[in-house]
Amino acid sequence: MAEVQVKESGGKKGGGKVRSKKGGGKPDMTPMVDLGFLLLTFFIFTTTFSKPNMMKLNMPDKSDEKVENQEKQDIKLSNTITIIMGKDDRIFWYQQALADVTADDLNETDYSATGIRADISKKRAAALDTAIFTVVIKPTNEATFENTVDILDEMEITGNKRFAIVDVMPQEQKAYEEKIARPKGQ
Amino acid sequence: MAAVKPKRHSPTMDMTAMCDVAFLLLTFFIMTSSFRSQEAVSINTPSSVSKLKVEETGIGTVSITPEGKYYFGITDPIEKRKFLNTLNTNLKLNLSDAEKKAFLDVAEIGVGKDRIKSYLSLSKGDREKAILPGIPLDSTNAELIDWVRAYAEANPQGQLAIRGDVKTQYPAVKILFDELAKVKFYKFRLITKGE
Repeated sequence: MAEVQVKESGGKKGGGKVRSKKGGGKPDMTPMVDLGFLLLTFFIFTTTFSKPNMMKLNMPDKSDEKVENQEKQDIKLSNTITIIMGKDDRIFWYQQALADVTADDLNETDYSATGIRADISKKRAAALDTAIFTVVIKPTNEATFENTVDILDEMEITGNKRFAIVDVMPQEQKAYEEKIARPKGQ
Repeated sequence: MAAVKPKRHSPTMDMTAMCDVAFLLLTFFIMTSSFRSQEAVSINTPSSVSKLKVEETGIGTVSITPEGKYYFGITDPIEKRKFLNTLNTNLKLNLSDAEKKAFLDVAEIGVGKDRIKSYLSLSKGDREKAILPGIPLDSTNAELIDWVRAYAEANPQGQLAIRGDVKTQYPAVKILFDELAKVKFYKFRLITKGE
């Protein structure tokens, strides 16, 4: 306590003289409290609370030089799933040879837990070899950065280590354009 | 004889305890916080489940606005200084000492080499108001790649982070990936926020 005990000098001197109380020694703390809270408010407003997160992303090597050295593997259709992200947060997947993919092969789903996540898990469980199950991510030019992050998030959640972000092939682009022209759910 | 009045309590409270609390909290916030740096553009990053925190050092950030403009920023002042010197030599910017100082003050640079000199010679207030065209990056002029290379050269341990907006269209990101792949840059960090 910032209270200074004022010693009453000469307590009783016989007479009934009432002394006026000395007011010194006890400063008013109110402005200091005001100042304290003002600074506190200022600091709270100017600071960043949560640091942003980040996710790692490694892109495939695009140079064609070392193709012979890369491990070659027969990839069965059931071991891969291709995801195409399109306009207005629409998303499609297919399991099909690239050359003959058509609009009817694209299955529409959504970014929710029961959507693409369930589909990936289902296809993963049905894969011939779960260890090499690969997700091929193909964002179209109409997809957003958020879509890409969402899908990478799904890879993290479903525990898929094998995935790659690849450009859309002309055949897929054709199928996608046909599919996106149809209203959702058809 | 006049009756001795009982000592009246004045209505003022003792503020000392409250004062203590206020300053304790103030001290706590000052010590635990880092200042929000003045960002050239506000970017709303998408959320992710990733638990990885962004480090303060060793990160060069490419920000992509919803309009597809590119900005480049470095958090760590020491790295930024090194980067500036490398960039100054590589791109032959011929920056004066005052311009270098201004460069270090700016959190994110959003102008290409042809306009950076005039941009940095502006006063602080004018700089904030200036319209930033972004660092050019397209098939004909991949200047941003030179910036990234200068960063990698100045800070070999540094990593490249990409900070995109929720509304950033994928082609803007794709060009960046493609151009960086040409200079054998394959590892990235994507900056997101916690869910």
